[in-house]
Amino acid sequence: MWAFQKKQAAGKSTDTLPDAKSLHIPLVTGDRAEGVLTVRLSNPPTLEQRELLDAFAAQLALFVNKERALEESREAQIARQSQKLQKTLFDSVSHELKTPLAAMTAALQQPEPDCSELQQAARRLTRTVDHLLDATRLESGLLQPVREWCDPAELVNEAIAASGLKDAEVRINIAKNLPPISVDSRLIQQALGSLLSNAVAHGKSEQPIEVSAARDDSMLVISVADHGPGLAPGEENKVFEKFYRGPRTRPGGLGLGLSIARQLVEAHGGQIVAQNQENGGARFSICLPIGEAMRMPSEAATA
Amino acid sequence: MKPAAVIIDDEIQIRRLLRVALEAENYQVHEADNGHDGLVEIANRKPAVILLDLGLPDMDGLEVLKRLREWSEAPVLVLSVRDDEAGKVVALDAGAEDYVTKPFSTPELLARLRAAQRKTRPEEEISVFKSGDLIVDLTARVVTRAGHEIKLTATEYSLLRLFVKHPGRVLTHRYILREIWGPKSEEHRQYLRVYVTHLRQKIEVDPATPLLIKTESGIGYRFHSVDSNSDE
Repeated sequence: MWAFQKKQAAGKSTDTLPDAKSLHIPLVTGDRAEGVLTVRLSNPPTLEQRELLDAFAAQLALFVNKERALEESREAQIARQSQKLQKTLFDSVSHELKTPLAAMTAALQQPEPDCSELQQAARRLTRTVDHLLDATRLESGLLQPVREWCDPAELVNEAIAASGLKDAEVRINIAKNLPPISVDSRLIQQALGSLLSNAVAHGKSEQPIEVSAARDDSMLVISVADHGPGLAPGEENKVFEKFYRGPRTRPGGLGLGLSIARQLVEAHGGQIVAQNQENGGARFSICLPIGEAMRMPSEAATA
Repeated sequence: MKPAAVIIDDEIQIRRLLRVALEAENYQVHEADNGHDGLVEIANRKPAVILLDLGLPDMDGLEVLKRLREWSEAPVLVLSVRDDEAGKVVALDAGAEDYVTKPFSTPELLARLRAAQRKTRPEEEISVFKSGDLIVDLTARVVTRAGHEIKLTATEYSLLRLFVKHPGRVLTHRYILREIWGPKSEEHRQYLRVYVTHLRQKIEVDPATPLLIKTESGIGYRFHSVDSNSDE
């Protein structure tokens, strides 16, 4: 303690407490002590040993000092980023909660309340709350996929049915004889649902969304393609970031859907990628490892 | 006398909405805003149906369910929130007949209510089930579509029989597994979906958009029988 405060060596072989068992050398850089190097010695050090220890202490002090400075700047950066994230979160959440509420209030104030307006606002509010809850759940690591063997065609068809898309709005192309895949059907369908609503938001309404499922070597690839303006250069990764809203995005939405989709797919050891198609529009693909082949327990003879 | 319904939910707005829907269906509605009062209401009113919220202020809705199941057989419809699939499954396995997810639509609520009250019929009561040109004869153990016999494996037939006996009702994975494979059913859990897929391919008109066996994501399956719903 004394060595730290006074920035002077103390203990064995020094002027301060020379009878102590250890030698304490402060780690000094500039006018700041970063710590104390304590060496326990059976005999007093020779002059050479003492010089070596001093040199070592000086090196150590420099190193500790540099690390501390780095750490401080990292912390400052994280604090800035988290502040920015919190502001984005706050701004977009309050906007996404208040807009439908305003629409509902306005619709209710009319002499004859507009039900379709109310329904639309309620749907938007529900989606916002769902996305916030999903994102929070993913963040907290509460989500564990419950795997079961699924027919890929069934997964895709169920996700499309749940999205409420009409037959004319979607073109489905599922390869024949895809092997069963062991996934949490609910989570993969939720990820697919995100891609579908993204395609609806960005595609052209007169051209159907194209959904396909095929095997690519050891992967099952489920793609959702639209005929909208496609991704701006450099957006391929950004679209999966939390709260990212593209320059071509229409107003409305938190920018959480695709980030949730990515986390759901990654929880299965899969990947999600976005790219532009040669003939225009964006294509989002979920790639899931097929893994081992399914082995059903043997069954009794037919009824 | 009107049949009684007991609503146990701490949210007054939800109770009000349910009251309107149930009164329109000619129920005598009784309300409770906590589990304790709810149990008292059920004991006094002998309701034909109970609507129970899982998140109550004084006790867990699941606890209410377990206690009332000790002395009441009245069908219970659990009111739950989205994403609480685990909670719904626990409630269904603890004796609830069905669930609705808030925010719910009134027609859906009423359909579930009707199905929940249609108590599981004894086997001899439904001996032949018809939907479109599909006929399931449980006595003869024969399934036909447009007069042609459909060959089912033993598992597929057991599954179909279980579904036919519970029209409109949600069946949890665990319930199905227990009913078909008995106590040592765990090894079949991850294959259940595949069995259902196979069954759909044989009995559904368009297996890609099944109309009879619907998946209840994260919970189980529900057998929709167009014919048996319209006879109410």
